[in-house]
Order: sequence, then structure tokens, then C-alpha cells
Amino acid sequence: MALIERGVRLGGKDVLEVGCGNGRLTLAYAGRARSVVAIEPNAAIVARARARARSARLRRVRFAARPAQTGIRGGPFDVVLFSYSLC
Amino acid sequence: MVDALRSAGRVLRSRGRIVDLRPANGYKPEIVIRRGPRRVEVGPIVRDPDPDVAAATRAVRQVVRAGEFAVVHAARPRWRSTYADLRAVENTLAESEHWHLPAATRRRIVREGRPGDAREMVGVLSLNVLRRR
Repeated sequence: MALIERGVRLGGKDVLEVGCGNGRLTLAYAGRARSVVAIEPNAAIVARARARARSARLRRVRFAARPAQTGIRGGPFDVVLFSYSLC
Repeated sequence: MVDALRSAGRVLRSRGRIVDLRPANGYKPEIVIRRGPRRVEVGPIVRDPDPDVAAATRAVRQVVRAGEFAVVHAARPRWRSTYADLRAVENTLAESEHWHLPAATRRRIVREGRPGDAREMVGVLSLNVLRRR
């Protein structure tokens, strides 16, 4: 997380995370962001991410099972984060 | 990938940023066991040549060259991810079709690892932060 925040601050920001996987990275910053929409094409993995967010009592994060090709919508966002997903 | 960057540009606020975090081209991740101050290099993780990583690099270069985005920050930071046991390492690797744990590295994790040790994956990332122009 510190690596990303060398380049951009996520605290207080509206963030779209593309390719959130199981939410490992998402949970590291979601408590400080104003809002997070995290998308991931694999519905089973999204379910795991949701469960982790619930366990962590994070309320400002919303996970959606959708691919980047059609999933980059909504907003506006302050940050769009491609976590291992542009490639 | 260029399309994904353009889509991202459309949902950004005017002073918004795009963050592109991914494995660096050609880097070789490895596993290390830490026991207090002791550090044991266990072995490599095999990473298939991933044409998508190279394509992502080209996509960023293309949108910057076209004047659509500007790079405001670029780095190749080292990363380290810590796991309590072998199963956690394997679960993480199972999420990528491109990463594999060689049998020899797995054997050494089993042989060298003790309860309470940290199993670390270490490697190099590519980080680009872009703004719309």
C-alpha cells in the first residue's frame, strides 16, 4: 500500500479498483478512502472479497463481479486503480 | 488495454489519477523464509512469460505518446508479501495462471519452515501514475 501512496494518496478519495481479486489490496486502503468500488470478473473470488470486507466491518466498499471491458463505469472517481489488471 | 485506460479516463474527475500497478517486465520473484533476523533464500517462483505485461507497457506508452495522458509518477519498487504457512503461499499463487511453485522450492519451504516463521514472496513491481491531459 505504501508503494502506491508514494504516487497518489487514497485517503478521502473515491476509488475504482479494477481487478481487485480477493480484496487483499482493497482492504488495506478501503478504511481511509471516501468510497471504493472494486470490480473483478470472477464471481467466486468477489464473494471471498465481500466476506473479507464484512469481517473487517468495511462499509464504504462495494464489490461487483464484472470485467474491465464493461466494468469501468460510474463515478466520477478520484483514482482508478489497476491492480495487476491492466496486464 | 488502451481501451481500458481510455475508459478509466472517462470516469475520472478532472484532477483524477490512474494507477497502474503490476509485475515489472521480466522480474523473477522468489520465496524467502524469515526467522527473526535470519533470512533463508528458499528458491524461485516460476512466472510464465506473460505477453499481457509487455502489452500493458506498450499501452501506457501509446496513450502517453498520443498526448491523452501524462505520467506523473513512475517507479519499480520492490515488493514483499508475507504468509504464515505454505498453504497461504499456494492459495495466493493459485489465483494466477502464470505463477507456479516449483517442486524444489516447495520442498525447501517444507524443509526449512518452522511454526512462527514468515514465508515471504519478494519481487519487483512496475508502478505508473497517470493524469489525463
